[in-house]
Amino acid sequence: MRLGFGGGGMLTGEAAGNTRHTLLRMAAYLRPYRLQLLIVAFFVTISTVLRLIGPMLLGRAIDLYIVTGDIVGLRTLVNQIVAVYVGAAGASAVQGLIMVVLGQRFVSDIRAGLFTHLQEMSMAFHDRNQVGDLMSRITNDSEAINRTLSNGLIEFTSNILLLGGTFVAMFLLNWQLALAMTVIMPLMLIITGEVTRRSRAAFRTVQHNLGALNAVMEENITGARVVQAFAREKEVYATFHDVNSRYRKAGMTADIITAALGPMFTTMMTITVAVAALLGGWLAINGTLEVGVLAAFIIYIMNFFRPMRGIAMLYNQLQSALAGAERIFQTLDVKPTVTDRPGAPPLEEIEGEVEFDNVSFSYDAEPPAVPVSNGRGNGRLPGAAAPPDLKDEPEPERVLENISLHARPGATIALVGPTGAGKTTIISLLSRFYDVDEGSIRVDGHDIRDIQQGSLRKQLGIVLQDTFLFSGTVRENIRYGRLDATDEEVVAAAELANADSFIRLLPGGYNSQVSEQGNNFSEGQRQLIAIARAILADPRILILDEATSSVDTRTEVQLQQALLRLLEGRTAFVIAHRLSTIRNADEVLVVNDHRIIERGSHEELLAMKGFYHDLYTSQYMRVKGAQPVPEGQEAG
Amino acid sequence: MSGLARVIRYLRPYAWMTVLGIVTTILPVLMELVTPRMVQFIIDQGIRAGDMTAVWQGSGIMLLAAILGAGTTIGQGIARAQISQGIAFDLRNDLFRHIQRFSFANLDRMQTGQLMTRVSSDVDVARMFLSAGMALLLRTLLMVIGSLAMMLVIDWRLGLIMVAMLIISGSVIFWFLRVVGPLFSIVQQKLGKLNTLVQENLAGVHVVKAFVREQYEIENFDRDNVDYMEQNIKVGRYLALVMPVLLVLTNLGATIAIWRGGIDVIGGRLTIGELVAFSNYMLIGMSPLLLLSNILSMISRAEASSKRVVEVLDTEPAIQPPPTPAVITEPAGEISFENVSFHYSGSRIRRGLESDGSGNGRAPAQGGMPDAAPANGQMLTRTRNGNVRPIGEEVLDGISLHAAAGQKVALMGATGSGKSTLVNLIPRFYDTEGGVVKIDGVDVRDWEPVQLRQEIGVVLQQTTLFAGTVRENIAYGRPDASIEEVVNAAQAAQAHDFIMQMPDQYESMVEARGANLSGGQKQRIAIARALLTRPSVLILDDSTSSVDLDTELRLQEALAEKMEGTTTFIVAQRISSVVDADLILVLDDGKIAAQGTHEELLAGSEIYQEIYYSQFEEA
Repeated sequence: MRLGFGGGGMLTGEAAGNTRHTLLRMAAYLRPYRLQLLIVAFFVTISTVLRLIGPMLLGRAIDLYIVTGDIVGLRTLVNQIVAVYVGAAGASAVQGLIMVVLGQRFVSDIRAGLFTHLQEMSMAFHDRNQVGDLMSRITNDSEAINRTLSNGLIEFTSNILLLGGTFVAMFLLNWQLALAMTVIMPLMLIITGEVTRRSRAAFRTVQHNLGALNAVMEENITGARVVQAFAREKEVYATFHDVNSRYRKAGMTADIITAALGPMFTTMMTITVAVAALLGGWLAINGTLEVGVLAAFIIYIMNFFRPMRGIAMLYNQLQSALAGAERIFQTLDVKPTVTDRPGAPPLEEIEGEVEFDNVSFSYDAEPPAVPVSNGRGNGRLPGAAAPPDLKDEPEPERVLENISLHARPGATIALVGPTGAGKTTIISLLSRFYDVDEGSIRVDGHDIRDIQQGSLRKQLGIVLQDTFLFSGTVRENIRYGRLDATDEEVVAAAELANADSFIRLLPGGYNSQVSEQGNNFSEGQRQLIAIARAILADPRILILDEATSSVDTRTEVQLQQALLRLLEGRTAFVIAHRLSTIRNADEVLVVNDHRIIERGSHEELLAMKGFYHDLYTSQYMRVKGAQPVPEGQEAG
Repeated sequence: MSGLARVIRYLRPYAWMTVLGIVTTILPVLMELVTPRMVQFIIDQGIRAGDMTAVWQGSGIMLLAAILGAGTTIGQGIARAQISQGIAFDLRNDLFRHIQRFSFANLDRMQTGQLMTRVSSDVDVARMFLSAGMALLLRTLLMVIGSLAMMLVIDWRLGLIMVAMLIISGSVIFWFLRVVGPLFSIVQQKLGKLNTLVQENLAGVHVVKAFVREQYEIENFDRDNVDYMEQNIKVGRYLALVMPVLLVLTNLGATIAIWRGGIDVIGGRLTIGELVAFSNYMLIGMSPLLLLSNILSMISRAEASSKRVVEVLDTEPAIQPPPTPAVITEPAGEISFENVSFHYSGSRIRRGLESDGSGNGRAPAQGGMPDAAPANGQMLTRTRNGNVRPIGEEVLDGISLHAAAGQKVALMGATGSGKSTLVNLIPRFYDTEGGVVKIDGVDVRDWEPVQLRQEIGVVLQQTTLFAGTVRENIAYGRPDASIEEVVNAAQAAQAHDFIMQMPDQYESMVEARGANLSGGQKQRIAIARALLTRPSVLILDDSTSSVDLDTELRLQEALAEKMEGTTTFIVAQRISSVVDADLILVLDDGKIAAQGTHEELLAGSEIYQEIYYSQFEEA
């Protein structure tokens, strides 16, 4: 692990103080619901008290009326008992209804907070964290909190009240017996403490392994086509089986611990009842105890243990919620590396002048982007997985060194050069996906670190190398560029991008469904849709990063003519390998080995007979004239 | 309860554990039932009679029962964990393996987030029922029946009151199951939707950022999140109501019993001890009924989730292996297409598992688009392979071609003309709708799919790398390859040089979405990955689009040398990539518009000439 929380990002060996911290943070999420909580507490108290009075009245029925044969009194009492129970049920219905809403809101707040936070995170964070694990945090970890909280809070309060009430009632009934009961208390506390200490560790492992399981799944479901292409189903399954086993093992441990707790209390209850019966029986025979009191007392013992057991089990469940909450807060604690400076103004409508001043950059030198999960390996390829951490930091690899460039408003700048030279990085820096290490980038004279990043990107139209479409309709995908665009504007953008003709041929036209990642479209079609999306954004600066690499050249020529019209008055950065694409640029920058090695117009560069010239001629060499056709070619 | 029934069938390997589980569930219940009986014994035989021995005896039996109960509960915990975790484990394995078997045609119609929800969340819901729910259910039933029996023994008339109460409670429960069950399905469905949104959002985070759509995405998330929350609240409300209703019912029963019982005691037909015991049985026998509402929600949730799990398992992969695959040794790599036609599913079909028409509703105003057909006034037909398509919408139409072993065949043509589709038919990623694709004269449908794909090295248009090192990624197709072989493949793919410049060379980690590699670098790793499998057929689907020309030229030379004898299909846009091909096919609208060598086509094909001039006009 390069950075951040050591091995795998799992917070193991957490200090106990941190648990309290986690609890407090969870409580902070409950603050908006203070009033409702108060109301719930009120109704919980009512229903608990009423439920407590119930058996007490039943006990009185025996002693006061049945033994004395007072049927009239019995009837009155029975009526009272019915009233008490109906009241208790009513109160618990009210409290339940409020709590359901409250609990669900609470968890959905947490989920929304987490999702919002992930949207704010910089690219470096997303580069280093697996989608599946992050997903698991949003759904599974918050679900773990939900499970405990929605029922837990009510049960906990009512159990505490029930416990306290039973205790008081027992003391009033017979203090000697009640005192004897307190002897058991420390024993129960010790058992609960011991059990939950173990279960906490187990639940952490469960949530962590669930994240890992999700990561393997996400990767191999999105990559299922490659898995099949290489007939690797068996190996992939073995990897899954592996993570799955670990998840099962963790779950089993947690389950066994949890399952043991309840029955342990039940057993203790039986022992206590036996002891009480013995003691009470002795007292009763000696005449110091009424039979009715003993009967009531035994009921109280049972009533005493049930909430105790409930609390212990809830406390145990709480460990699962804490494990989930820890992972969520851990994610929330990672701060975005690319942030707006406090008080940074938005970028006003720009002319489109772009300036790179001696910019250097390396991905590794990014300030700790804190991978929350172990982005490495996750043991996907067993045997080959290296230990995730403890590797000495290699010298950060410079991706860009001393890049300077100047684009006048409206100019088209082409970036050419071998793969991996750093062309895409230049574009990523201009979009401020990452911050430069040295030097500065200015747009219309504003250092981009001094303005709001959103206001910068809004004026950029970016077509990225990795074409990504969302599931939804074609229209929705194009409209992603500008949400308030009318249908006509969407179509106009598609026409400009040369996408309209194929879209119209689709069975549903613009309403055709794009499946996940646009898998039902060819790469070239995806690229055209992505271009339409960028065009619709109506940007001052257009960035095309190999935007047409999979588009056939005839379509591309048509597209270029359209783009030429579009680009009038707009600044453009174009990365392409097909030199036909870049001939019209005002300036061509040749990037090689992380530097700009040549610059000038197409003609100037050709005349220079340097790197660009070689690049250019290689494209024609094999096709034109008596080219050195490589061996292996046979007569067609 | 069909879904749950299927899931419960997974119990079979755990038969003995199940027996242990049942026994260890029953025993503690019996032990618990002993307690009130003994209390009654102590009161009536001991205290009333002033007989301390009886008190001792009663207490002793209670203690003994407690210890026995403790022992068995430990066994119960272990059995339950083994069974439920084991079944969940088996289910997840089966699901994952099954999903990996899904053909491209299946996958095109599914959403990763939905599938993931089914494997993790739905299985967990079923597991929770199997673990806690089943045991609780069994325990509750035993407690209720047991204490009811005891009550009937003590006084059958009083017992009958309880029977009546139980019948009423049972109706409430039955109603609850009917109403709430379907709601849980919707809960899980909404969770799947939420998961899909998150998954897509994270996978496409660069687009989100590029278009500053964070706020929009948050709003979308909020909508689905609130949707999910509201569904949960809806279900929760039922739960919040059913619980107090059961509470009133059971306690009403207890009160009536005390009333009737009290009268009986006064009338001398019942002893006080019996009445106390009766009310105690009521307490322990009826209190599990309150838990029942929890169990009920577990059952209905589990049933809903099990159905979703079973749905995945019941979805047949579109591509089925032949019952008796042909035996092929040392394939040469001769490929022929005979009058092949093909079409994709034109629109989504609304079926549970498959993503529904509304996508994930990123733009709600657009609403769903259930079927494309009416929108365009076109008729839809269901094809043999289950694809839905508009009539007359052929992606490939009457394709016939022949490539001799070792030949290089190039495919050119406009975007969407069917190039990728054509090569995807060779490894049988899709089945043809008409005509036959043959390798070495054997219909690809007669090949064992795994053997077929091992013979074919594919570089797909969309480069997908996995988390892991560069080396692991290259060795993906042959994990046992030596480092020399890996380096060799990388050298041929022109990837070696840049890999050596990475911080840890071949052990460098590939970041999420291959973020630390450029597009061209990813493509070259993907090519190395395909080369390492030493295929007899190599398919390069537009796999050098992001590679610079110089490198591509070197790559082609290396391929010509190292892959001699390998039949190569190459989809490309650049003339320079195809100029030395033995056969160039120009596709237009799903048909072969022209074929021949570069020279022949340049002389004879108008489309090819156009492509050529679009690239070399001014040169």
